[in-house]
Amino acid sequence: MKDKRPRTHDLELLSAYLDNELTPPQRQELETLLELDSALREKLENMRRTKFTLGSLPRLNAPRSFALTPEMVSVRRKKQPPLFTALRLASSIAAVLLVALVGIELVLGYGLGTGLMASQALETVSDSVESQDPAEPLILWAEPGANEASAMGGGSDERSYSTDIESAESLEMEAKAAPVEEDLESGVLSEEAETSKAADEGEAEGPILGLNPEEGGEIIERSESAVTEDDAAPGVFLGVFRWAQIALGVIAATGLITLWILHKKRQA
Amino acid sequence: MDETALIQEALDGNLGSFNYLVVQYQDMAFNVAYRIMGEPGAAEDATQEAFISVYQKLEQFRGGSFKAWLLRIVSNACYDELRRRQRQPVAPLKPEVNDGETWEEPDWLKDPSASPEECFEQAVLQDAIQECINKLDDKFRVILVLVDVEGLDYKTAAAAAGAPLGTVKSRLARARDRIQNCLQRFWELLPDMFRLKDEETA
Repeated sequence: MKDKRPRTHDLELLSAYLDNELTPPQRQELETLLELDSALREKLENMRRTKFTLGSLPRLNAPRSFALTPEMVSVRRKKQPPLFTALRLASSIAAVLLVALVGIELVLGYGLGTGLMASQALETVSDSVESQDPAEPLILWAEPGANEASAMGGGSDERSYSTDIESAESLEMEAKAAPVEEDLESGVLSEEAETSKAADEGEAEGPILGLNPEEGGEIIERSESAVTEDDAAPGVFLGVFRWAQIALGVIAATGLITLWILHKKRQA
Repeated sequence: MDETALIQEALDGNLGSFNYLVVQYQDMAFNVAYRIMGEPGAAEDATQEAFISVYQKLEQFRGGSFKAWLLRIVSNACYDELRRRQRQPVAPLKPEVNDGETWEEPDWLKDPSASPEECFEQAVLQDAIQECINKLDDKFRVILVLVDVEGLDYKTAAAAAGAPLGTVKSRLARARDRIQNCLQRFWELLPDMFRLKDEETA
């Protein structure tokens, strides 16, 4: 040991050595050190004297009897005030429920959130499309009985639709810009949004061509309104979920603060 | 009657049986409380609180050393009392004479077999040691009192302090080192046999 003052580890060894609490190898190691280090020997001797000094303190007798009386026990066993108990119970339940809700949200809530954002993105797309001038149709209906492949957007007689194609292209570019930007900002592209985007990209070369159902064509898919209604449910659910978390948090926090104040008053 | 039977009877609501336990352990409990608190009034309060708490929590006793369990509750009562007194300081019960020269030890602290001179020396020495104990942090003080004053082994002290064995060893070593440094200030009060080696040569 270079310093006169022993390190904490040496102190612990010396202290345990005095109390015979060292393992045989530790004891042997320390005894070897003690033979070589006079400062350590001195420290051990001083510690031994300190221990002896402390042990020499007289044992005090109790100044009086501490035997309990029935009054002491009944006073102490008196139940805590109902408010105290009720608050503690309410806070505990609220805290447990809050933790459970947060846990549920962590496990499932992310999906709910993305579903809501996706439905919002779809609504934005449909709103943009609906806001276009109805006089400039994006879907050009083919005559009943026309080639189905062509009617489904597979290309058709370019001569008869050339004017419409030009106007539809310009409208399509405008309609496409805003919602895609919004989707990118939200950082999430749902499957539906991606499908919509892919369809949009396909339309860059021409308008959608389809069979008009009112003139004998079959409705292939008309799910726009259904999608909007279905996705409104997670949004409402998410709102209720969030409010429930806030309410539980407030109950738990208020209860704990009140309990703490009551506890301090009781201690005083 | 053995301890286990007394505890069982106390659990059945027999306060008399519990008071047998109180009588058996009250000196030890008060002694530990006094050395931790450093003040008789506070030690009395802590001891009484501890016994009431022991009675109320008796159902939680899961066997093992009742003494260690009791001392743990006494230590906790002392911690609580120390905290309470830190928030609301109270006047010391040791009355100081106006000139501040000396103070009167309560009668129950006096050793009736000692001469007046011995009594005085003992009182001064004990006061010096107790002052050094009081200067320790609570966590060091409790371990030091349990092991060096009360004479508990490490395992029982660990149970009584509610601390792991390694923590007890570490705290005890540091507490002894600090006490030793503190006692150097009072070395001239210590009888020869208690004097530290480096002080003798100083």
